Amino acid sequence: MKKLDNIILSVEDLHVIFKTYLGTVHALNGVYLEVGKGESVGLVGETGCGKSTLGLSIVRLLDESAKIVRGKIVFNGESILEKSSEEMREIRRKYISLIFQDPTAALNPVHKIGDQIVEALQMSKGLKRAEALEEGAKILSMLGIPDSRKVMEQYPHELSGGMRQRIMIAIALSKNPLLLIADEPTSNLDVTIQAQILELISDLRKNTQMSLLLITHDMGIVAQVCEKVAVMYAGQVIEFGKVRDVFKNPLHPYTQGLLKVANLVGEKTRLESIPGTIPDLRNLPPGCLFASRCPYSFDKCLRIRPSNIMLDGKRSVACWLVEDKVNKFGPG
Amino acid sequence: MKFDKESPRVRELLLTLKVFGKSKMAMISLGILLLFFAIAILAPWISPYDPTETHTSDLFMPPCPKYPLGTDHLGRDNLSRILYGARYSMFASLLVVAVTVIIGMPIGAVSGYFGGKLDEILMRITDVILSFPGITLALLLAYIMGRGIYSAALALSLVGWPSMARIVRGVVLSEKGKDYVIAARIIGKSDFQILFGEIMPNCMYPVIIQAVMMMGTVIISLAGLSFIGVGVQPPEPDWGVIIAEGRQYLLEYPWLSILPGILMITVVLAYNLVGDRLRDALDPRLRGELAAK
Repeated sequence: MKKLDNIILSVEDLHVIFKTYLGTVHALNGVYLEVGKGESVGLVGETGCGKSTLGLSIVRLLDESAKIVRGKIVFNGESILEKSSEEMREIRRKYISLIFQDPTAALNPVHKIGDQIVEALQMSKGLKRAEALEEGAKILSMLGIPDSRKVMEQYPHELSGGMRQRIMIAIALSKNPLLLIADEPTSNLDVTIQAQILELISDLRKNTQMSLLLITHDMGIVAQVCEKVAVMYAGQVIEFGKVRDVFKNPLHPYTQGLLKVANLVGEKTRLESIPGTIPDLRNLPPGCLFASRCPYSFDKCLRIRPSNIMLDGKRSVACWLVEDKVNKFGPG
Repeated sequence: MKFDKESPRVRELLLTLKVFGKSKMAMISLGILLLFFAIAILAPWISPYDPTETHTSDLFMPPCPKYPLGTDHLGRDNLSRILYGARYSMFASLLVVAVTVIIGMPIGAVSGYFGGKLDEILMRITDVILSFPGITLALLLAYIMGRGIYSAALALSLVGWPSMARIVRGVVLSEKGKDYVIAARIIGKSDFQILFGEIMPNCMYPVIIQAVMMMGTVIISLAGLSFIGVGVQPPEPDWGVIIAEGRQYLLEYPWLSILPGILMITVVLAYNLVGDRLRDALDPRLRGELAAK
């Protein structure tokens, strides 16, 4: 275990279910995750693997059909799941920010940009309106928005997608959060704007020392922005470690497949894919959730689900192949 | 609040008005409504006689220069009674709908937003009230409070708010799942601030449409209550009362009942036509199409 005071967020054995009329969906099945102070962690995985659910669990904003069955979330030394809703509001007000995939939906269409930023500043810092206006304009120009005063007089629909996302980032940053959770912040933007926004987030993080949890399905983005990466599959973090280590030497067969698909290095030959689909989250198999798609699966994989094994204190993998290797040859 | 041409609300309003104005029928209806409101306000000045003043020597006069619309069985001037009668129809219905909005909107909003047990309780209450016939409730209230326009208006308000509450609840339910609500939570806003500051401003159009559509039915119900004797009390001149009184002489002097009846139909029809067009004009998909026509 690392020293606790270096850790801003840790998630342990988190299980979340959704009660739907089609049955109980097991969205998160024992998630382990750690984000250090000032660190940037990328959370990758395909659609429906529980990335966003994890993000919303951390701020306790899952919708009513969701239920946290068990697990532990510790933020800044405090156990999130034991907080009252009033205490939780306080934490959200001051310490954690969230950026969404679709900035159009995340801005209230009937309020001016300026009012929305001012409100955020008033909520988190208790500024007077005039001070908040001043501060808001400053933040906007810091984010490279020209003519910030004019923008503040505009309404969300008058701005471009990239501009709206900048506004969302401005609102998120206005409280100087300890942790920024960015849920696919660039998926709805075109590639050039995407690069700008990512650079912006990267720079801001370095300058402000906030921690970043970047949720994405794009390995390229992770490589560009993050120091560590957590790979999710069917509601589990199946591999976690430094970006360099994981990308260079992926241990879990799913990560290997994902990297091959992303085809970050080498020549493109033909588009690869991982055969099979994710298991039905309403009816989970007893063994490893990836076993049915795994080229290396063996008897044990189908019977017992592997949990995260720490290797040399830096990486963790949930795979029996790795565990057997560890047992035979020792860690590392 | 200052008028801001760039505000989406103002821009939508302008577009809506443009679409609304393209329908001749709706504009004529709107004109009719404004005319009747003017009549209701100006009744004391434009009526030739006091509506309750009887002229015992001039019973059942047909229309003539002295009495432009004739007189009734007590020799009262029909024109004056009809002009004064507009006051009840136009303003009492407005009051009923206002009360309906004031009660129904917050209840629907809270019900939709908080959900759970509270929603269950509030919605079962609305179910009970919706299954309760308005006329029966009005009779009961007339018995308790005494007959009159107030007990009739109260009865209609009490049976009217649940439908408003249901509509608001539905809109809030669909709005509250949107990202801007989560975004408001993440900056630490309270439920109260989110519901009334963020969600409700996005729910106003359905409320406006429902309120306008309600006006017509409320006018008919009020007149109906007056007609059966638990609304406006004679000798006060309400259209429902005038129709009820003229009913006994329908064969000999049909104009006594028919004219206020026609006026009432006109107003109700005007409200419905305005409401219909307003709904089309406020519908974001239909609006574009209609504006292009």
